Amino acid sequence: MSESLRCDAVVVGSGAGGAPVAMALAEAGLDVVVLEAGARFETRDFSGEEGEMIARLMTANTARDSGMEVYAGACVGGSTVVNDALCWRPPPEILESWRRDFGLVGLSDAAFAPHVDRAWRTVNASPTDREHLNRNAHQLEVGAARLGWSAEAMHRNVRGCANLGLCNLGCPSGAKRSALVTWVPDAEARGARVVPLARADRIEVADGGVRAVQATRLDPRTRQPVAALRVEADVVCVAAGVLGTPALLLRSGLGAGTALGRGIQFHSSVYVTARFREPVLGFYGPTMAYAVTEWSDVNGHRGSGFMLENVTVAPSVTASSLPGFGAEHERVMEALPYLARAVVVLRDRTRGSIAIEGDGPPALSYQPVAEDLTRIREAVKQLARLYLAAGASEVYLPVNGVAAVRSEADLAALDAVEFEPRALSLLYAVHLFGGAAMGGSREQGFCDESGRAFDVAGLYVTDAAALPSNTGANPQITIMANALRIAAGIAAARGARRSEEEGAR
Amino acid sequence: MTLPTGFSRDAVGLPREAVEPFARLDRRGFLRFAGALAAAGVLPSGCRGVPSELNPPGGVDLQVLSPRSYATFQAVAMRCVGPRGAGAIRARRIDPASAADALVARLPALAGPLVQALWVLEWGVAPLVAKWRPFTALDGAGQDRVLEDLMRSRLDLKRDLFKGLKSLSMLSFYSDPASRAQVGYPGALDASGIVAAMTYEPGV
Repeated sequence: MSESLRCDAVVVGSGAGGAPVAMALAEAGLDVVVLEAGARFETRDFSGEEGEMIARLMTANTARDSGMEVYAGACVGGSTVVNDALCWRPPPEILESWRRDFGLVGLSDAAFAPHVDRAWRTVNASPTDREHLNRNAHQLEVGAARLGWSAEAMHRNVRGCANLGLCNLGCPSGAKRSALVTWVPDAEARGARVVPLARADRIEVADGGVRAVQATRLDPRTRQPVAALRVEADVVCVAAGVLGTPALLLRSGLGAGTALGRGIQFHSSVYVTARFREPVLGFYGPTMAYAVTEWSDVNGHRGSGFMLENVTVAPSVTASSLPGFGAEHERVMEALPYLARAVVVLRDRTRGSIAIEGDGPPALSYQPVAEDLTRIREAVKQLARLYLAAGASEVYLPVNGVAAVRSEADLAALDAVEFEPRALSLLYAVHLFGGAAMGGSREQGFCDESGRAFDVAGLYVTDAAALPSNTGANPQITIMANALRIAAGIAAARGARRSEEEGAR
Repeated sequence: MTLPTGFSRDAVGLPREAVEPFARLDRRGFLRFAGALAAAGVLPSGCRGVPSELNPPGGVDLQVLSPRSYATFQAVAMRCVGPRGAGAIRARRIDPASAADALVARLPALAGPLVQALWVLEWGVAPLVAKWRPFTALDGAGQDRVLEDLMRSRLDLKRDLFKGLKSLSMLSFYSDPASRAQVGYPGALDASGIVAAMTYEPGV
């Protein structure tokens, strides 16, 4: 069985890099079709049950060389449905680096500003007030204050937050302003058609320009193919995620002589957990809200490049990430209401790559360089110091076989550990960048600073795969703003072409 | 960011911490070897000799796991979650093996690797797995030694085996509402009430 559609623009993906493009192009009068491989859920579908929601909303992959794990949303709205609602404007140092190091001379602060503002408004990025700083966040605040470290409450894209502690499991109250409840319905109100459970397989190119996207409709229960779908369009915007976007382009036979598939960067992350004498109840309230910026190297900070952010203490994910097993693990878990937990968000120096192997999942290669592993070790130590300063009775490091830390002297044990990815209880990333990046030349990227592929007319990359480096801060606003900026360029070019055609008549 | 194309699409439907260790195991030759042995009938799939507390209860309709691999998973889970959790499993209040079976049934690409991993753990012997008897035949201390050896091994494959089995054990155990009282977790804050309120339709 096969089906075909015709439109002005196909957007592959409905997350932070796809949904804003769909909205902006529809707003500009284009007939837009959005292909999304994941299913569509509504707010009422979000039960808050950890196992069920993780299983329904998320997907994962692993670096073959290091074993590092990466996670992302797999539903309409993409990772914005399962992220922790944190908002940072694009750091000025990052934009400067993109201009200086990647030849993207047009990416000025002014070029980004209107799109950042629009993204900020649309998702209602707002300061987090005291009412929404739970005790988990408070422990970071206390520890940082006692040590004299810089720290701040982060902005979050919420409206009417009910403190459920379920931001990352699909917000059951609808308070989180994910793409699912903002950009996607806004796009649909302007005529865009969103097709869930439609996996893009290949992009057809002829005479130097895009012609269509070949896709497969998936069974909602089994995710097995049920029908072919072909969507013809002169514009294709790829926003399938940092692994999905390069894989789709590679499968389409594109990118020869460019940096397609290379230059991938993460924000590598590990958890540190601490036990306090008073209840923390870290499973309620915003899943993340507070950041220690002392070692950040963006937004005016001059540290070695990591942030420490509080994170939910929901039971399944806490149990899976704590080191060890058995009686000691159970002893820690039985104190769940007394646990605080935070994550290291490292601005990696490592660069990875992906390749394709038939129709299987993309093969990811990402072997952390020594400098990154050294900084992760340092970040873990500093986070443990902070928790001890805040009054923690025990701190649990993310290293299998290392005992609980009760004093700073105990931290010396960490120096004796061979610090490599598989020694850690969980080394992962949810912030991925690059792989089909913008660059000043084919050697530096796959597309130019307008997001347009160097060699294919009408083909654009609009998601985090287009970003030439990591950003040092939670990236959803940067991704949305860049997507809007690219969409504005597409709409302007199309308008100019129409004017020329009308003038010629 | 969203991932509609080729991004572990086979992995859609499993908890994140559980998925990838098994995906890696699928590429490991020794697991394929174990699978081949099992397929050849060298390794039994029945529960002969397995402690009765590990056997699937009557009426459980396993979709992926054999009775033997069910028992092996249950034994791993009992050691991973600790003594009180093991008691809940033994008393059949929580059944992580059934939960894991249901999870991987939704994902054929990972079902095979899980089964193979369990076979390796059950039937593997030194130096691959630090024992000479089936895992389910060891006492608790013996099982802990095997898991410790996997966890601390310098071989990536063995640590992947440990991480995969541990993660799925923890997720399947702690996702069960019956585990909440043990850890003092009251459940998602009013989530069911919020959902009910949002789906409530007032009468005319």
